[in-house]
Amino acid sequence: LIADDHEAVRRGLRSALVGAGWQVCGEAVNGQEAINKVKELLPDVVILDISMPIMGGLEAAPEILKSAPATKIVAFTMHESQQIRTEMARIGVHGIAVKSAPLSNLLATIMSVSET
Amino acid sequence: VKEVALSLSGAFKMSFLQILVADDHDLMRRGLKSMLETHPGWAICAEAHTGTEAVAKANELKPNVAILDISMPEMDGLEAARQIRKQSPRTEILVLSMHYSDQLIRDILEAGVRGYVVKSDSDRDLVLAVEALANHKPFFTPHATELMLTNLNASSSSLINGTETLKDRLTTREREIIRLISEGNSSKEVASTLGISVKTADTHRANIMRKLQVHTVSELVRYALRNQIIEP
Repeated sequence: LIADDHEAVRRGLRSALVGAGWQVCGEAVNGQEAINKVKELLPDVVILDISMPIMGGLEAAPEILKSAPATKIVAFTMHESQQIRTEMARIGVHGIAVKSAPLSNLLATIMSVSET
Repeated sequence: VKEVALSLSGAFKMSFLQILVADDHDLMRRGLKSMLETHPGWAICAEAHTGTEAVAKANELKPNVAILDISMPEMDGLEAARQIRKQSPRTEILVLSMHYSDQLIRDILEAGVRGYVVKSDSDRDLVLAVEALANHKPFFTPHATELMLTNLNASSSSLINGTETLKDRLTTREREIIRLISEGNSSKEVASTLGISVKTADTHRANIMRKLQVHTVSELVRYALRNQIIEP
């Protein structure tokens, strides 16, 4: 599942993920929608943008972990900082990927979390 | 619009809008490409991940629209825009940036860019912007337009208060002398027309040349034409 409020990013992710051989089961444009779709679709992995309107990824992640414990969460963020990493670890997010980094990093992160 | 011949049943031609997408982030390039390609009649003719590559591909393919990310390695979108406008003047340029910036708006306008969209608004504005530019019409969001008007007002007010306006730089008499010289009158004829001495006319002429930083009569004539002191 892809959760990001920007269409260009969602489309870019979809294209990259499908190109890498994965299936995109759904998309969400905010944290609330991500929670609902995770409950409904039970994806293996959710790529969760940190900064979204209505509800951001940091707020959505605990609810997702609770309602779909088998779903792995990869937080997707514009900037990486120690503070974000610490917060992610506290929540229990499985991986983190930076938007500006090469796509191969994101794909490697997804691969890594989905194998654990 | 470049015409691409499609030989379907051997008998019809379809026009595609040719678009170049330049962004150093693979994710954004893929996303933009996917958004644009769903629009009927639009085709991505090239992708670039640096400004240098964008300039080379625009020069080679002469796209209708070039979408340039501002922040790219090797050469940024602004310099790429300048070069593309020079080498492929029919190519309209849409600049994508992360944030609104009044300095950036000034720079992109000077570079001949006629479309500006911030990435966070691209869902709403990207297609509208490309549609406008495809028809050689500018596209600026209300926020960008507001910044442009603020710039314009600030710049007008600094011109009025500063030393750069024609009004402040030149006296009425000097404007008149510019007109007379531009119409082909000699210093003697200027002096005679205005009822002043030849020496005074020469002094005015020297002052005008210094103030305008011009050295020849033809430069003065160009200045007069540009500033509507004389009619073409």
